[in-house]
Amino acid sequence: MSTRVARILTTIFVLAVVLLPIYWLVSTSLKSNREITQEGTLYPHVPTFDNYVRLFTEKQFGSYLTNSLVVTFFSVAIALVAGAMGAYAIARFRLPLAMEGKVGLFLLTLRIIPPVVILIPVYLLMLSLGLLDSWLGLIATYTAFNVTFCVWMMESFFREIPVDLEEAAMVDGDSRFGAFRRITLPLAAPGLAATAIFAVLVTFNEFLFALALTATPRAMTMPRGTATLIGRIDTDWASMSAAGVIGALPIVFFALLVQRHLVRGLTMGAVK
Amino acid sequence: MMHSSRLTRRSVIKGGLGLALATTALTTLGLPISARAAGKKVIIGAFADGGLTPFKQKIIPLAKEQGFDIEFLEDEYGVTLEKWFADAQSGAGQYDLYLLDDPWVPQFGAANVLEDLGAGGIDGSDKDWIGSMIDMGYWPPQKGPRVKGFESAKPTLICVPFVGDLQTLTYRNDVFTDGAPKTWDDVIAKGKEGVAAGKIKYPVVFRGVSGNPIVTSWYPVFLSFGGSFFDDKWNPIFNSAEGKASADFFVGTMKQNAPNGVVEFDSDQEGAAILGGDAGAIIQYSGNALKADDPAQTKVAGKLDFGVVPKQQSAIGQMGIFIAGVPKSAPNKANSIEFLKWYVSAETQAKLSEAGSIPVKRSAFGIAKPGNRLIPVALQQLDAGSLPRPRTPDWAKVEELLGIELNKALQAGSGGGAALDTAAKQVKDYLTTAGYY
Repeated sequence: MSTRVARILTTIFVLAVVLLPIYWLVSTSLKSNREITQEGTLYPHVPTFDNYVRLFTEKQFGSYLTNSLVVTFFSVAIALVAGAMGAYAIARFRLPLAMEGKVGLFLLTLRIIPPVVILIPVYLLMLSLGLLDSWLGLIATYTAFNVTFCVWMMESFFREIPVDLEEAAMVDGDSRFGAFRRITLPLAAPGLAATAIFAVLVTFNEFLFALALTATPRAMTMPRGTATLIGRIDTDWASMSAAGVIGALPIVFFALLVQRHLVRGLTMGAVK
Repeated sequence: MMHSSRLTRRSVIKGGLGLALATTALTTLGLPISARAAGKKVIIGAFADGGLTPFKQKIIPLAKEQGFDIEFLEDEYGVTLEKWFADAQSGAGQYDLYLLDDPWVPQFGAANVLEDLGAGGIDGSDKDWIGSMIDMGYWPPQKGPRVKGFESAKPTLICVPFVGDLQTLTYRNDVFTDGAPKTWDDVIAKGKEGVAAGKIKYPVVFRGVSGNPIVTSWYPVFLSFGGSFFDDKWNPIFNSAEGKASADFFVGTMKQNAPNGVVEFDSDQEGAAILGGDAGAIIQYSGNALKADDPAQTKVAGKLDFGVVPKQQSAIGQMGIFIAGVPKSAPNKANSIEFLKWYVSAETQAKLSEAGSIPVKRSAFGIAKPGNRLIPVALQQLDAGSLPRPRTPDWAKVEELLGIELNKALQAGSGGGAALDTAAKQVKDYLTTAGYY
């Protein structure tokens, strides 16, 4: 077998492995529940968009999707702003001796604590603040998680940018914050994009806190709302598949939007 | 001039603001009208289950005609108990009404987080109630053993039956041509004839997944063989000779006549086997049974009939009703009690029966046109025997311990009796630790 044929076969195999789950998800979303559970067909024999229609007319999926978009946008945006400034401070300023070189690790430790460990305290905190089942409660929770991740990730991006550029700007009369905003931040844009996409992915798909902190379609996010399709006796697989397809679209769209920056971001900073 | 696709900070901020405004507007527009309507607001929490379909489709619109502003919030079964219990204990006040699974009542009762519905004006002594169903609404129980700490407490009506779900038999009328099989031996023997004739692939199907699924499937076999779960001192007696015989039959004979892989079957696979035309008989709750006449939901519409659970000594199934409780933290408490009074009235129960759901008042079983063929059979099953699970707050743990051992025996295809001995010891140890003796 020639190298060329082997390469083609390998490509086909890899594509099949990667695309099969996506095909199966889309295909299942176009079948009826009867066809899914009782017939197990390879492709939809009677394709139907009823599952998509049912999601929005009967299952309040529009609210779940809206909640996910709003909560993800604000929590990631706030975390990026706060995180970028925090990371810049760690990268540029001398810290008290005991903290030098340890802040990043400390923040990372906060991020990797299993969320279930702090689930009950967070629930009680939100209860006492009257923020259960609200956008604000979720945004506050996700921002807290995201900001630690953003600081940890952005710190190394800022370290990559020569401090001389800011100093030159300040010699020319710019303030420290102005130099940060006009010189450093634009140069760190690829890192910012890479950080944003990871934060968006984690936030948009988060389930555990959404499960504990929300109860109604007013605040339930997309993964949380999709779980309501699982019944005691029967599960609405068709609607769940349709939800999976729709839920993937914003992430795909966002990834396409920032992919150029993401590629640049991955070649600098922490993951260089 | 060339158009640049560069992502600028300005475009991100503009896009983000636009998105936020658009989503806010969408959410406002997308809110259910009921959430904004004036009226007697009642927020009902329920776990997703096909048994509630007639209630959602037919009774909620009726309630709205009565002036109730119903917000019906469904959630996944596996999380609702913890979710609602946390809601009730913390006083979060997110619900006016929980539609509980009846084994959860002792846990809520022992925690004292539900309203006294008797004091609210709901008459538990009304003779029209199905007695075994209204009994499940009292904590501590009016009859049978009580857990420690509640021996002398006065029984209080903390829940009212909502949908009278219970196990019955669903069978293929082209296989069991003489009507419902009367005994478990009939199920197997006639089922094998159906397999030989090419009408079905398996005589029987059930759930084998560890925990609640396998225990729920084994339970009617256990009861029909004459088993009892606890004595009046909470000592496990399910490993009696009758219990062991039922377990051996379940993990041996029944497994041999069920689909391959039944050890991993849960309700989806079980439902697919009977509704897809592969299995001859099944014991099931109403969720899947309600689909039996709908060609969009089953390949064998018209070939499925209902009957009483087969017997060995007796014909007893498990009762697992939807039961409604009002949390003390309910934001619209008075509305929810008023709604319950309306819902359990003979008139509304008759409407529920017409809609195809199993009612909780005896008069509603006798209406001229019940909406589902299952309803008269459900009454026959109630009269033949239908028992609730033991009234202890620790039932979930007991079920888990038993389910693990039964599942192991099912995997092996033998040793059901020994599995019960092991489980009985584990249950006894657990309840000892929990202070039952």
